[in-house]
Amino acid sequence: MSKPQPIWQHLPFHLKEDVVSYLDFKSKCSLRICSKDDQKVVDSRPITIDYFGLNLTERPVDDVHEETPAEIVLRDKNVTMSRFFTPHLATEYFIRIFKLDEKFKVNTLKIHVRNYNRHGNHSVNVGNFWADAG
Amino acid sequence: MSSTEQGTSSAAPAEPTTAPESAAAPEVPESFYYVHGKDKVVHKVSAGALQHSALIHGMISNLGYTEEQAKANPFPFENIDGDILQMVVDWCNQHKGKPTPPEDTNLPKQKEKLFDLVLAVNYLEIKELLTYCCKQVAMMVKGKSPEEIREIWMIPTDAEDEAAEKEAKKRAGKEAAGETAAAAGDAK
Repeated sequence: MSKPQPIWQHLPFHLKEDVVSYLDFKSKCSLRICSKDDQKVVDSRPITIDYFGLNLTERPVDDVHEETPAEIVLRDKNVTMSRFFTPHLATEYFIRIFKLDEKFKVNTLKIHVRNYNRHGNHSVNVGNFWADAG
Repeated sequence: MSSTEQGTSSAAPAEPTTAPESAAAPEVPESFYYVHGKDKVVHKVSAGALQHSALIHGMISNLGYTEEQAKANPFPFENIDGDILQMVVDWCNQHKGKPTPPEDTNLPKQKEKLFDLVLAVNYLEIKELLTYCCKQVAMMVKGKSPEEIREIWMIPTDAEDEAAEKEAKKRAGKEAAGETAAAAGDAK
């Protein structure tokens, strides 16, 4: 039997899984797109992140020009990622992540909704969200 | 022979001097075992230090060697480089009978050595050291971009991988064809 070379590619799958378990979410995402094999390694284990948040703020009544962007914040092993989207798109992505990947788990989930009209068209239906995500 | 030899029972006091010590069970002389890697350099390691390795511990329990037998028959680990085995032996000696700390900063920084250590530690089944090594490997690429990760861990792209696979198949096909032709020639 040939001896495995001391490089990542030749590590047994279970060792790669162990190494990946110590990576933060951002690094896991980077590794995932390196090769098909690495995608398999990253996808083989459930992903648990420390914090996942959605910040939504309603556009002020007197500002008719543009919407306040909504922010999705993700924090894992002291590494924070944040991105702005339109409120509608942000809500879509937020829910879709849980729908698409059942292995995706979050320790702390926060939804900040500021100044939104509770009866308006853009309100977030948290009840449905939990039902979908659960 | 390893320079990291443990204290033997000869150094222990012959008679207990205090009451609590006299109440304690008499100290059993520590047994030593011997291991060698690819370079055939024999390392003397105490049974206490070797307890970290589930593989060696299992071998010791099953074989029931006396000290003389152990000296005459060092455990051979031909698939482990000498310097890597030395690192493992040193770590086992340092952490003999002690609770392992949450971090270990004495691991090699060179990636080839670290990956070699991971493979050796996995083979020897040293759970705690394997945890440190895996953490250290993970830290190498923490916060890096995919391109940087590819470079650090020497990961080929899928296209490079496919090309290498095709090349290997072509080579195997040629070798098989050559062998068939040779066999046919012999038959004639």
